[in-house]
Amino acid sequence: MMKNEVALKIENLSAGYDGEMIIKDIDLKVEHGDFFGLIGPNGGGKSTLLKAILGLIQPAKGSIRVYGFDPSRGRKFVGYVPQYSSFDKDFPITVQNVVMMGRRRSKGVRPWYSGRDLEVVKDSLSKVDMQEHIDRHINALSGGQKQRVFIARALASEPRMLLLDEPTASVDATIEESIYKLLTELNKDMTIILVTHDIGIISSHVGTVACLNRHLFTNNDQNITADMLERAYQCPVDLIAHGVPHRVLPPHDHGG
Amino acid sequence: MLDLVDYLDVPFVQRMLIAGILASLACGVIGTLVVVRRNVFMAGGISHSSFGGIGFAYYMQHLGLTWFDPMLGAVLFATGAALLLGSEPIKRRYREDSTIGALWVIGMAVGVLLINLVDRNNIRVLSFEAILFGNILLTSTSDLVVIGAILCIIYIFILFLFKDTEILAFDEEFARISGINVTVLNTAILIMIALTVTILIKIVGVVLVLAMLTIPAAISNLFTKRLSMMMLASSGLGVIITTAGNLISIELDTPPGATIVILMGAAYLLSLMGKSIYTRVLSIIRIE
Repeated sequence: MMKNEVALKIENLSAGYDGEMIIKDIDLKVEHGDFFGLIGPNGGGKSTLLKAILGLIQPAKGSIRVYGFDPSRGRKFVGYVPQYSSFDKDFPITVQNVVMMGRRRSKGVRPWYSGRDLEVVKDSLSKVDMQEHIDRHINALSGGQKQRVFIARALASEPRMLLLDEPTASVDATIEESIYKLLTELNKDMTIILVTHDIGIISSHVGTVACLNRHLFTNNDQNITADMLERAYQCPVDLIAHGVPHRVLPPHDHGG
Repeated sequence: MLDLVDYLDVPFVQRMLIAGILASLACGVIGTLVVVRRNVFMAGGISHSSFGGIGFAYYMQHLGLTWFDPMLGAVLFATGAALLLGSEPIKRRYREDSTIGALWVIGMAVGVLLINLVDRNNIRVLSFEAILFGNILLTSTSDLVVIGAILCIIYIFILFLFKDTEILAFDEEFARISGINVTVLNTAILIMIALTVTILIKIVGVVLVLAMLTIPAAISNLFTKRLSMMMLASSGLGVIITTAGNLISIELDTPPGATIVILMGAAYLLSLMGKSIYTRVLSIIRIE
């Protein structure tokens, strides 16, 4: 994989539902290998942007390229980790079968999974240190463990990019830290983009940060300071009020 | 009074038992999907709207189309209702439970209205009681062939699409991202639900369909951790309870549909209590 390959390129994107634009004029470039944090208040359009990147909704305007492809084709490079709390806790499913879902794309329409699929599933579980739980019911696990299983499901599709929606939303601080350590480890092999409404979670692990509140506000500073975070969270109001033009993340060397 | 064993030689009793077994097998698969997808109320709406289809079929017979079987009317209305409830624009624009409620009562009203228009001197119409609460004793050999054929369709469907169905039921967004054609698969599942409901109307009637579809599945859900196991367990449970209910109804001369449903209700209650005791005992053992 070339180091300066562009993982995600968004140009002039506007998107929303039923004619109402939730996000407007978004420009964003994430390079392969980046660890990118997207923060913003609830209702600011984070999940709309995620859905657009995954090709679940069509942009009203502008373009999205995932590793150079349209989202509906580029999403095969993306491992998506949704919020685990949205799932039915009574659904009869084991850890193995959850992670196996990540193999659906490479399996295709064949009715059964192969031995190699099972190998990949076990491998993905061991990457998140959950291999001994493979036969347990998903709801027998703690919040942090469930989160790891859903990360393993994303890894099972052998992605180039992990896209995480609020990965630490319902776990305590210790587990949050361990998930960040895991993501940092995974970042050695793949791009990581995570989305959250909670600025507290943007720790020193994240390489670049941007703020989304209908418009996208970016800051090319790799050193995240308290001052910058404060600005980032207030930026929507400030920047719109002062009419500061949105900046696109300049291409930057990731130090590799 | 004849012995129970003697009854097993009577052809209509044999057909009744076979119909119960085939329907339970269909429910094992489709009822499981209905329960995990939270489509129980939707299945109720589909079932009650098919009452309108039965009325429609009788009315067609009244108009001279004597080949228009009530079961055909039920299939048409059930499938129509399922497709309507599953269509994307309707799901997006309207509250699902309101749409279901409307279909539910409109189907019933249309059925009552049309059956009343039928000249019963010329056309033999089933009693409302038989339509609403089942008439498994009247199962004919051709009914069994139809039920068997529908069961085959369901088995072929689930054999090839089990994994995709599991992903779709668990996480629709992920199914879409993984390249599953969600619209086509959802439609196929809804048609399977409509077909199963039609089989069940024959046995337990429009009103009691929900019991056979959901109770064995709901019981199995308490004790299994895999979707495939839930399907197997609820198939087995359904076969046992339905057969027992049929035999009891013969022995005690009670209505078969209602007897089956009462047995299922009792089994569900016992299972819930059993599960709660089991969990409590387990937690006590763990603490000690």
